[in-house]
Amino acid sequence: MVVDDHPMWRAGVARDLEERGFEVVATASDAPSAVRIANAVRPDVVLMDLNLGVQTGVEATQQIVAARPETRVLVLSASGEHADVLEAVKAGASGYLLKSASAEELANAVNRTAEGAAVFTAGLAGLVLGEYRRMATEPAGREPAPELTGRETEVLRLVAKGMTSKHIATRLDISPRTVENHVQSTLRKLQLHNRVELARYAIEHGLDADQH
Amino acid sequence: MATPTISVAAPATPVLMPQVAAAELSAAVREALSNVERHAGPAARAWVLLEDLGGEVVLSIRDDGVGIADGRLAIAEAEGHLGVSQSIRGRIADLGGTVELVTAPGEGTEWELHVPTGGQA
Repeated sequence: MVVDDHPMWRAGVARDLEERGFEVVATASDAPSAVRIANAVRPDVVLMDLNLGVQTGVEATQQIVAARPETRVLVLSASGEHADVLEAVKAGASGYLLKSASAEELANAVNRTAEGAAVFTAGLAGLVLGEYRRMATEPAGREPAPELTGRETEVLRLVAKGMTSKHIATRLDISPRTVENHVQSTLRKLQLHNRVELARYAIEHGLDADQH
Repeated sequence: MATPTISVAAPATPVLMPQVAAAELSAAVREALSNVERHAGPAARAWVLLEDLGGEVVLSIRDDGVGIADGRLAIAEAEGHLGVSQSIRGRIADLGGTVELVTAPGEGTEWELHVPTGGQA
């Protein structure tokens, strides 16, 4: 399923994917219809643009994944949307690709996303590293911030320096599978923390509303 | 700084440091990148990673080019024409930082510049 507010881009991406053997089950042009349609057609993978107007792709991602956690969301973003990409990943997206990627790279990324792998570019690894470090310096909240293990930090740094899983595996003398697992784990911890915080926020605000 | 052949990875939040340090650091990165352009080969790509460790900023510049053969740097240094390496090391040393350079033939070149930013960043 392809979500983007630009009709020509949407059509172009859908065509590229179909030419490479994917079935595009639906398209959507804004966040509310993306959420509604995804719930109805249950796509394996949602390609999500972030810049969708009033409600963003981040909100759509969060709602789609909340409604059906097995849906994989791959963010396709323009460059320079760093903070939004990070939010989308925290909201449950399992990877991101720049819109400047080739049709070939897109097809590979969709395949990997469908298989359950995290599509990590060097840029995303840098963002995730930065987010863990930011959380570590924040005053302790009620939910303890997740931390990276030494190995996870090591792997993320190498991904951020542009190394492939294979290359990282050789350098650290572990299997490429283990490299992927470390990368996945850094995402899962971040997403879990985000869900717990959102739930707490909702409960606190719900209670507030009752009292007034 | 990002281009089709240069990827930049950084935190989503700004990394704060004294202006002088920021200027020196970005000059050092530019030098390292222009070195990639001149020596790493036409197909080489480069990655820049900026990290804020709180009190220390780490800038890594890696390329997947031809690398530098063992001893090649030392020879060039001895011959007195190793502008880039010296210039980068000088800039970082002036900031009280350290430089690590990892390279091997066929393995590309990887710089890691560590610069103290004084207290919590």
